[in-house]
Amino acid sequence: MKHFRPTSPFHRWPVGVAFCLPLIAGLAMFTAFPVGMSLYYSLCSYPIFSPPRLIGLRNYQELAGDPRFWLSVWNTFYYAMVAVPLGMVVGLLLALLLNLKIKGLAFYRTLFFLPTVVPLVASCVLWNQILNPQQGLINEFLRFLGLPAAWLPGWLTSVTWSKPALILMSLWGCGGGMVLYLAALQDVPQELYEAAALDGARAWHRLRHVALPMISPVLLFTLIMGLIGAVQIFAQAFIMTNGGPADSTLFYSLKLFNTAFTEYRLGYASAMAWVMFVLILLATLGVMKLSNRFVYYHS
Amino acid sequence: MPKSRTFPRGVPVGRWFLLLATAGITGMLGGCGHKPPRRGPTVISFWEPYGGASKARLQKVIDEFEHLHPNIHIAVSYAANNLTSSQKLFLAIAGGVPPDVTVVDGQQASEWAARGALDNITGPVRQAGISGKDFWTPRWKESVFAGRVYALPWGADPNFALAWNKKLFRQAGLNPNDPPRTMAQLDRDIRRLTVIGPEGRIIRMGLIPWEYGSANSLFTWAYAFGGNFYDPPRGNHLIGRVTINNPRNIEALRWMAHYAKRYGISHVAAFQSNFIGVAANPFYTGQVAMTLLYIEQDSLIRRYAPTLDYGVSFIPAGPHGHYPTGWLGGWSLAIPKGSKVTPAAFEFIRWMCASPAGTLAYGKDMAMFPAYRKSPYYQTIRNNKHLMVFYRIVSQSTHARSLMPVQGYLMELLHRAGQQVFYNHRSARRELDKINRLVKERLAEVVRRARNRLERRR
Repeated sequence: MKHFRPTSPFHRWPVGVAFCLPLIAGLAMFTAFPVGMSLYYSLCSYPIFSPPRLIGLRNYQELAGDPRFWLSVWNTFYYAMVAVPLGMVVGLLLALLLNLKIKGLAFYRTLFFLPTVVPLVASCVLWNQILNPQQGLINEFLRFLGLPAAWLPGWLTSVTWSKPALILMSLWGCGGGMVLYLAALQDVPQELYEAAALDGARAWHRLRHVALPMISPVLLFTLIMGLIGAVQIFAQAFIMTNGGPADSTLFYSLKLFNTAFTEYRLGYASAMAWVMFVLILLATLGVMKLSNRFVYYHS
Repeated sequence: MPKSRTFPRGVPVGRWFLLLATAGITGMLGGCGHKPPRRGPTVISFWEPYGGASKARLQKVIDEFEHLHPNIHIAVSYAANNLTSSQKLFLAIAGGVPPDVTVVDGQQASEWAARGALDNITGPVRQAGISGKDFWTPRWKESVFAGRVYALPWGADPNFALAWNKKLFRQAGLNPNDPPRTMAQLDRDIRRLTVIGPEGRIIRMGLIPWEYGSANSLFTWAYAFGGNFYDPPRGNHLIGRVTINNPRNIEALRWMAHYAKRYGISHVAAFQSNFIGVAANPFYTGQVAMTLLYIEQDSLIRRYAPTLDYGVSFIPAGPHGHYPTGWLGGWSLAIPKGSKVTPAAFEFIRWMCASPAGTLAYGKDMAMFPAYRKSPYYQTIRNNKHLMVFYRIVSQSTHARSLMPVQGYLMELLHRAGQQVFYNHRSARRELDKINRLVKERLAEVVRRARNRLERRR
């Protein structure tokens, strides 16, 4: 009987590649190829039904002088800069509350996580009602608190309040981050808290100097994912405001979509997509660089 | 060590299984590509934008077509189709797998034709003896680009009639049988019918001048003020004169902006956001006293507000406008580029748009006006007072929105201009001047490309 002789990994690589081939082919066909083509189209004039024509960097030059492009950048920046940190803070606060040993904990955890699984379109319809300035839940509550009618926010019908309205709505989905923070908090060794308590640390100090450093890798992860998601915000504006009123919710992705399918300018829209990719990349790299200062990898 | 079970010639069972499975899958895949000899009716794929109750009504019309044409089957698929949501159709055309027939928003037919998205059907149209005289003129003009026919007009929406709530007129001390005919009378009635509650909250609006969005509303009121957006090209020219900054158009936009300022655009928007869904239309519930009525609404009011006491007349006109006034919209049917103009596909379009039976079915089943002016449907509405108002609009109107082959872009720009004027108090003149310049540039670009393509084909 022959002894089993393992062949060298080098010898067996075709088998490995063969097994991975469906995935590689799918990735190449449906991701790498479109990404490459979009880079090519960004250098073209491509009015969708006619063949693309190379025009060099003209699309990028036009972007630099397009005031609506910069407006969409500003709207998206405003949204991301407020919605992401706020969502993280609210998610963390909920996680801290749900980390306490109280009765009905599983029920509360489910309750706060539930909005995350509600489909986005259904959420938009629901929030349209909640944000209704005359009969909506929020303004009814503010009225109940005695706020004068003149001070009540117009939410989606007001240029000033439309972005804060969508930021408020984004908090509805902070249950996703909450679950991650909760898992991370439960992973913090109990003896660290006990040691800190023995040294005289109060609750705030235990949170500030023990819990937060220990869960900082998760905070970094949610920050990056949140930024990527916020920069790509589309559905809420498309369904609820269509960029209005007066372009106050014209976000980057909505402008990109309209450029491609209302103005039929696929080349210009591809250039926008690449600028967005570079912006997200720079933001992520910036956060990663800064993360050296505040993230603690205890392993 | 037990020997593995083998078939004759010593091949292990596992390998036999693999071989058989491979052969089976290959056979199945081969079968997918095999075309059996064609039997049964010719199948025409048809993409349409209807949902809900309208879809069922459309199916009734199609059932009738299939009953009369047993050798043709229409495979109906939904495809969203409007100024911003036609990407399914666009990608199908760009990818070379379009449907045989598609619905096109009439205002975009010439634009899609200019961009090369539709097939030229001039030949079959002439052979079938169809001409522009068979249709309401603005609808036919929308279907033609560079002297070629690219679509057949299907519906003709007379936009708009004025409906007024007689009970609210009586309450406000107005004559319930005397709707406003001039802009001055309209202004007077709006003021008397609007009710503002404590704290500036709107209880009832006399009329919301931008009820159908800034763009559609601006077309409506600009034509009422005697305005114009485009003088179509004459002779062999492909570009006409763009007149978006016509003084009457500016006057109309200023008139709308005056109400946005008077009642507060945010207050009106907040008021409007209370009404979601067809049944909750504020005119049906008495929270808006006058409305611009589109034709389908007459049957909707019968369904959702059967006790509503209302009248239907023409929208008022300014000193330079014509009374009655209005413009025509409506769907058209076309054959997308990349799809062959087969006799069956054209027969479907012809029957739906330019046959007495098809247009009668369209009018009766879908409660819409056919674009085919000779349709026997129009004989059936002689005794309907409300529909006869719409008939006068459809038969006398000389306008579509505009006949520019950049209509989608123009609608987007007009929408933005309205928002900037209403919310940010920008100058109406400056906004329309800007649009005039942008549209001219885009028009020149689109027509240049279209001309190149047409010359290449020659």
